[in-house]
Amino acid sequence: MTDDRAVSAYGRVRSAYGWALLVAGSFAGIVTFLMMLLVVANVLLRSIADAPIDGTLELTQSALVILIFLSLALTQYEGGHIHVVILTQRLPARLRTAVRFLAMVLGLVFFAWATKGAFDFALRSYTINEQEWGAIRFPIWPVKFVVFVGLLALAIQFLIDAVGVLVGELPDDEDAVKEEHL
Amino acid sequence: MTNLTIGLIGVCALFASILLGVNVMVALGLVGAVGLTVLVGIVPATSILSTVFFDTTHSFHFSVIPLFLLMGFFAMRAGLGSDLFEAATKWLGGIRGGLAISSTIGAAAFGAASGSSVGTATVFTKIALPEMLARGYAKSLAAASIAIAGTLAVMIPPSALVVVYGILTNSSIGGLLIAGLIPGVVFAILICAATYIAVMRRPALAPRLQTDATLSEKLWSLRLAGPLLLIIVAIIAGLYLGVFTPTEAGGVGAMLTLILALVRLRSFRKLALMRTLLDTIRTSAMIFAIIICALIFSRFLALSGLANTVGGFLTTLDVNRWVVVAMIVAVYLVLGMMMDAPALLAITLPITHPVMMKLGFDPIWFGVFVVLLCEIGAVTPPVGINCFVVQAASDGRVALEDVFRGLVPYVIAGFVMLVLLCAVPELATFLPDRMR
Amino acid sequence: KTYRWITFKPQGAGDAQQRSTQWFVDEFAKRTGGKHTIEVFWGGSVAGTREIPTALASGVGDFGDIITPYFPDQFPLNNAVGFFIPQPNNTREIGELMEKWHAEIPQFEQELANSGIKAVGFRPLESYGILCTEPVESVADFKGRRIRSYGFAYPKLIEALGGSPVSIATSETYEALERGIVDCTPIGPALARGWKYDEVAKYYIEYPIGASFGHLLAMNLASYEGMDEETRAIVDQLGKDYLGVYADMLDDDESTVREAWESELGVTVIDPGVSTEDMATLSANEGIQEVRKDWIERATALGVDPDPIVAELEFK
Ligand code: NA
Ligand code: NA
Repeated sequence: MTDDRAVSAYGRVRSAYGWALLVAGSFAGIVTFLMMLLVVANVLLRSIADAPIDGTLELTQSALVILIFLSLALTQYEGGHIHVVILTQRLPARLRTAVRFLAMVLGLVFFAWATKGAFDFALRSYTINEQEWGAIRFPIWPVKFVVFVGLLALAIQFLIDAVGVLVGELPDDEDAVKEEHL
Repeated sequence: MTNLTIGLIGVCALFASILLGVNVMVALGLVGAVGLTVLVGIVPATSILSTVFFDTTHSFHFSVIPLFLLMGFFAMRAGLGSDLFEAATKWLGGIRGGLAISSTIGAAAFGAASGSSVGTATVFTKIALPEMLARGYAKSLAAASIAIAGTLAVMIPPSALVVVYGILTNSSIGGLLIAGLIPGVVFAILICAATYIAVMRRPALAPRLQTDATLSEKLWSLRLAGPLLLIIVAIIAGLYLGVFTPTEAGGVGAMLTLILALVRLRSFRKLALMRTLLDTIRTSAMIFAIIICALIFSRFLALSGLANTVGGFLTTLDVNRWVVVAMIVAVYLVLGMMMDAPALLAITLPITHPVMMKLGFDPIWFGVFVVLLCEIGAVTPPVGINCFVVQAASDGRVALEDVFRGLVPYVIAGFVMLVLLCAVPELATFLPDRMR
Repeated sequence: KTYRWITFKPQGAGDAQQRSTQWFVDEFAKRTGGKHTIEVFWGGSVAGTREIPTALASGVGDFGDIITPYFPDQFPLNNAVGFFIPQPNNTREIGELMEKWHAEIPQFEQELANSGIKAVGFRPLESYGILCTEPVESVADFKGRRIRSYGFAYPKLIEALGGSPVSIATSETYEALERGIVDCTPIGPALARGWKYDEVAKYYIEYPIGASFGHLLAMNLASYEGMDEETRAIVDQLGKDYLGVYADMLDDDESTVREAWESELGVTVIDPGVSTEDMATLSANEGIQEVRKDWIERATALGVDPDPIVAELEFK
């Protein structure tokens, strides 16, 4: 009885978190679309009117950072990051669970570590009010904080998945890459 | 313990953790970071983790990756792939194995507008696989032919992987892109030949189909290929007329394909723009996560001195340069079995590129050669990303084992292509030389 | 002890930057009698160009070369020259100015120390002109040309010349020149050869933009302070000798390139006849002055008297 309640509570937390990641991912998708429009507009204005859009290069660079780091955790939530199941699928069930748990914990450790680094980096950038110095000038430190947030979100997703393996709530994905991710 | 030993232990730890099902990015990143800690300490290791994620993605060049992916997904939504396939079926359906051959040709054509091997394999799994299975094709042949044909998108321009090579080796990206065209076409022909031979040897793999298409029907079906050809021609013309740069071509291609999709669908809703964008960012995130984590691992390898030692060993070898080439091929095939292409390039090029340059090979030729090796790696087990993709997109129609089982003739075709490239380097260098 | 040198330069580059780095490394081993050596990690294999200051500060490497213009907020003072485009000094003079400012103005060193870094040598870039795909006989001819720009100072110079600045990444400039996306790019002879721009743009306009700074040969501060006095003295002397050795190598490269231009490459060198007064007039342009004012304010805020520095960098 208590088990069931714990499981469903877990499911609620995981899907609520997933919903937040989907919002972030949608924002990343919009950034991708805007990036496309910017590149095309720059090409058109440059070739037709000899008037390229100032800062296209710099804005594209920052857009790329934002779109990648806002979608990293979503991809993990949906099981999209590449892993190999060829050996693990042949293991006995309990050993397989142990190995999967370990894999998630390693992911948590690595991305928590990277999150710490990214935070230090972004903070240093913030203290000197670091700018992007190009044809236009804008603060670059917020973009560095997006990296931090993206890595943090991914670390949390690994934590959630590790717990999911423990409580038996994370489905055993045989497909290394799921259809809807392609 | 010497640094070299630490490097070797790191390599073993990487393979062990990948085989144990750890995310490839986590395996690369964590082994790399722990290795760096052992070599130079935790503060320097953390400092590399602090900068590498931002620095790698804060790049104008790499913006082509999501933009080419976006283009591929728009093309899929617009039904460009299925049109091409329909036209090809009218022409080649009567030959034994003709559907597999026509899907290879379709993938090659699609590859001229898509830069993504994974994207092309997905598109053709969706379009061609059900058609082939419904007509009695063996699962292994149908699935494997799509997995390998997807890799043509990387060889034939435009190609995100070629851009990665250009950046990692500081080579002319324009030259590299155009260099892949002839080898891509030749490889497509070899793949078709491999299908044909496989089917001749085991006719059970694919039945002969009755096609009642008349010549006029055949000719009329060509119109279906028109829209895609138009986009491809527009991009190539734009590059040559100096309207946009190769990096900007990603954005232009995505925009043109979007317009075409809207014209075709006559509906903004059917385009499912948000879903398409989400598909794009998911695949982008996957690719970048691998690229960055591979970079962390390769820095560990570099600091361990393993990279320098192997490179030094390869350069000081007093043997025929083709022996070195053979050794490099072996290295790529072994690593390619376990690794994804961008990761493979990021790790190996700092070692192999200088060696090949010292031996007097052309950087553009080597780019094509290495990309072909990566393509072979993209279908070989245990980490054959295109095989995962085909299996995953098949809605359970085929198993991973089916895909791997069918690949033998195509891997042989890949080897034939490698030999051809060595024997006739002009296949790769002819077009870029004309450009100079 | 073996020190680590992390650099973005590929070992195979063979240009003055790479050769002089190798010279430093060899000379270090020689002068310490082999007691200490430096192992070089070439080609950005350990840290990318924009990661090197962080990597150096944390001790990933002991030595490294920092592309100073990438870090105007982190090293505003050491970036002085980058705010003064165009300026009248050549490569050697810019190197000597950097040495002088580091010796006389403590804030120059302090700003690096704040980031855990110590400058041991200076590597200014070569003097720039403008390479074009079409002949440009006089300054008035720049009007309406699309000129490749990057960073924050070049757009102002190009606008002052009447051209239209087009941002293009360095690695795409070849294609951009070849296909006519841009007509011109600011560059020096050795770099034009290095990037092969001179294959597709055949007119080098001797427009006196001056040399720019450049690269700091830097050390991790703790590594530097941890050296015994004798070794530290060797490094200090090496850093001083480096400038001359590098500038000589650069001169060699430039004359080789100019010979090749004249013989097999068919690049025409054009002197547009620009006087110092012309340059002074151009520099008075509002946009150009705005960039300079930006630096002057930053330097003043850091407690540095900008006037003697500005005096060196303005055309008189
Ligand atoms: Na392609
Ligand atoms: Na593989």
